[in-house]
This record gives sequence, structure tokens and C-alpha cells, in this order.
Amino acid sequence: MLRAASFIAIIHIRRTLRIVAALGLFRAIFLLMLIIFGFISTLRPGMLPLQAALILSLIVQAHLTRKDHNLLTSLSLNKPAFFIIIYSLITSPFLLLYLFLRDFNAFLILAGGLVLVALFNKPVNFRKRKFHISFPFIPADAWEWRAGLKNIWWVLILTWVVLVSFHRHYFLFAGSIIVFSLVAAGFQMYHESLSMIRALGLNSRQFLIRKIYLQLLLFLAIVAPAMISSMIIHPEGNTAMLMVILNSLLVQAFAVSIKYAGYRQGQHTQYQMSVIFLLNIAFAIPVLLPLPLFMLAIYLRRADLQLKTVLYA
Amino acid sequence: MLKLEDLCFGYEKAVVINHLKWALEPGKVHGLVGMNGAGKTTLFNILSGMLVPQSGSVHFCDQPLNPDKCAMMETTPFFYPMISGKEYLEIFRLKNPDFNIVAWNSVFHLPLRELVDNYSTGMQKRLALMGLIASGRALLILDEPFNGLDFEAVRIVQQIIPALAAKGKTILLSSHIPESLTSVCHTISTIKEGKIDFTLQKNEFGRLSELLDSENKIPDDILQNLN
Repeated sequence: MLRAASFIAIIHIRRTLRIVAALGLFRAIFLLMLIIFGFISTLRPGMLPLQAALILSLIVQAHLTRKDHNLLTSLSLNKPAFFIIIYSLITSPFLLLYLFLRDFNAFLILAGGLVLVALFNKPVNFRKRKFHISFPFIPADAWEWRAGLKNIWWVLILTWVVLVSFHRHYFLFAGSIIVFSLVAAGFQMYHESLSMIRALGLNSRQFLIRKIYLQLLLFLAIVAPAMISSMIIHPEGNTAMLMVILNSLLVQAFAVSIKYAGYRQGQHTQYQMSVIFLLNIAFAIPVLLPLPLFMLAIYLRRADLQLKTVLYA
Repeated sequence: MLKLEDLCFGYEKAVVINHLKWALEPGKVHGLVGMNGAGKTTLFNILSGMLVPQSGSVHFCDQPLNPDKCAMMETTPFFYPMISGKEYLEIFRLKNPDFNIVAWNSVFHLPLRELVDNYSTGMQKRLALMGLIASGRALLILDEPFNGLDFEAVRIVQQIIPALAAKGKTILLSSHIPESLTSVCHTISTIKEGKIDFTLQKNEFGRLSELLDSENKIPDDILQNLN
């Protein structure tokens, strides 16, 4: 199994290099710089667990959205032991670094997380709930929100309950905005059918503006109670709260842009949530502060081009 | 012999496989026909080990079926993005080092050094079939193998499948177009409401249309009134 895991890990590394090469020289250098800056800025004491959590989030997303169950089952490799070995091999430089720097929290987050995620070796099928809430007041062209809220309205309710119960803790308000931001950005992960886009009868630019407007409006609607309560209860944290809100709004616009920049009918954006997670915490890491704005500018243009391509194909 | 006894499986309250019984002889090609949603893919996923039956048993050669004995080709085969055809097949050689990629490719004619992303649907299906053969398993399952195949690839499949069966492999393939199976299968069974409805041997295939039409025949008056 070690031989098989090593071999498949090498194939994954080769594929990744091909994907990076396909980005072109400028984008590849930009990506490399981002990774190096991100890596260096999270090398400071106390930041390594955050780095470990970020790496783990990439692995978790790749693992839960993988489609190679049948391929690996046909090779008798769809087993937790295989995933533990392959993920350990891929993340071994980081695991060794954490041991060398004696940051056992970071080591345990990454190593423990890998073992836990490896236990899920069947396709993830979320149970269909019998109890459904519909949201007819949400505009019909915000279909991601109608479908998304139907599935995870309980996360929002739970977050509000936690906020009300522990309203004395300021950091929970900022944390809840980040949770809402992740949830709302997650709605944009899956690509709708082309006929739905065409049905609106808008050109690429108008469509993009409409989708970003809806995303920002609906995001503000769900965070408004937490935002206003925080400003009243904890006025000393208004500046920080403002930073979190602004950053989250940029992230929401980016989530729409990245979706349509790589739009392919019926597909989903690979690694979207990992990028969104990184951007969501950008306000806490100085070197990453301008990143959401920068990424938004790049992907907005690409989204417009991609939509033009698919709409007029 | 592959023997399925009293097999049950359902999603939530929807029963898909309902006390299914089926016995398949080794060294033969067995076709499975059924309407969309009849449970063909679910049954195949149970056999390949992707799903666990809620009750019943599956025995292969008088032993409980071990997923290590079985390989399956999905309707739409999955390939890792940016993987070359050769790399894909080399993964299968991990378990079956005797598989000769060059020799088999003289049959399938695939540009193995190219990325699979650039292959057509038919080429991807041919590569998946090569992977299935490369797995070297005794029980091979092909879910809708003729979907998306061009004429040449269909001819290749029609020759290779019986040849593999002649070497002792048990082959199970499905289709929702019964006529596509008659040229390759030794038996054809239909699945209906989660059970095997009937099984025909090769010399009885002439009755297939008659049996299927008895339930699905559109009344003549409707056909005559079509615009």
C-alpha cells in the first residue's frame, strides 16, 4: 500500500505541476509568491496552528469532493490506511517542520485532522431532510441562495443562538460574520445550467453586476443582526468589526467572480472554499490584507470574459 | 458462480433493490436491462463494494464477495484532471504488473502520452475499458458500456468482452437499450422494481422484444393519432 500511495502521490504532484504550468509564467510566479508570503507570514510563533488548519482545509475539501471512489475501489485502495499514507506523504514537509519547531498544536491539528478525514472513504451523501423551509421572498435569480438556505438555514439559526447566549464575548460577533461569509460564499460553489443564465436575458456584464449585487445584499441581510448588535453592545470593537465586514463583502464579490471565471455548466469550482477561507482571514494577516481586492480585480475581468464566451458560444 | 441472495437496499424510504435473487455462471457475459432508475447502477455499486446492502448476501465462488475480486467501469468514467493515458494505466499496473500496455494499445489505438482531458468521450471510454482489463479482476462490471462509443469502439468492445469471458472472467454489463446487448451476452436479465423480472438464455433472445413490448407497447390508436 505504501508503494501504491507513493506512486499515486507522484502522479498527483506531476498533475499539479502541469496545472501550474498551464497557468502561464506570470500567474505561476504570482501564485508562488502568494504561497511563499503566506508561508512566511504564518511562520511566526502562534501562527503555525493557523497554517496547519489552512493546509488541512485544502486536504478536507479535496477529500470530500473527490470522485475517484470507483477507481480506488477497483484497485482495493479506497481504504483509510491508503489515505492516511498518501496525505501524510504529501504533507510530510509541514509535519516535519512542526516537529522540528516543536509546535505540537500545529502537528496535532494537521496529523489528527488527516487521520479523521481519512476515515470517510465513502462518497459523502447528505441526508435529505424531511422538513423543508422555502424562501419565496428571495429574488428568483438568486437561485444559489434559495437552494443554499434550504439546506443550511439551521447553521444560521445555531450561530444566532450562540451569539445571543454568549453576547458578552466580542470575538464571537466577528467570528459569526466569518462563518456567515464562508456559508454565503459556499452557495456560489456549484455552477447552474447555462439555460438559467440565458433565461435572464442579460449580457455578461449586466449579469455579473446583478449576481454580485444580490450576493452583497443578501449577505448583508443575514449579517445585519449580528453587526448591529455588536456595534451596540461592543462599541469599542467597531473598527475591527468594520474591517471584518468590508473584507467579507470583498470575499462575497470574489466568490461570484471566481465561480463565473471558471464557469462550466454542472461543474463546481475546485478548491473554491480553501481560497475563500484564506481570503476570509486576510484581515488578520497584514501581508494578505490587499489580497481580496487584488484577487477580485483579476477574477472579475476573467468572469466577464468567460461569461461572454459561454453566452455567445 | 456469482450468487445474490435476498439482497435489499434502499435510499431513505425508497426501496431500490428488493429481495433480489440472481445466480450468474462464471465465464459468461450477463446483460442486465432495466428502465432508468430500476436499480442497475445501485446493484453494481453493491457488487463493487461502493454500497453496503441492508440485508442479503453476495457470494462469488462460494465465498462472500470480496471487493478485491471485482472491478467496475462507470457510465461516465472518472479521470484525474491533467493525467496522461499512460499514467492512468500505470496506476492499474500497481496491482497487475503483467498487463502489457503497449500490446493492448495496439488494439485500442489511443494516444497514451496525451492528457486524458484532450480525449473525446469515446476515447475516454476506451481508456476506461483498458483500465478495467488492466485490473485483472475475475468479476468485471460495465455500467452502460456502449454509451458514447463510436462505431469502431463498439466493434472492439463486442470482440473483447466475449474473449475475456472465454478466459473465465464473469462479466456483467448493463444497458437501457436491450438490443445493444444481444450480440455480446450469453444471458440477458431484466430488473424491475428491485427484482430480477426474467432471464433469457442466448437461444431465447428472439423473445426479448416480445416480452418487453408486452408491458410497454403504446396502443395503436395513440400512434395513429400522433401529429
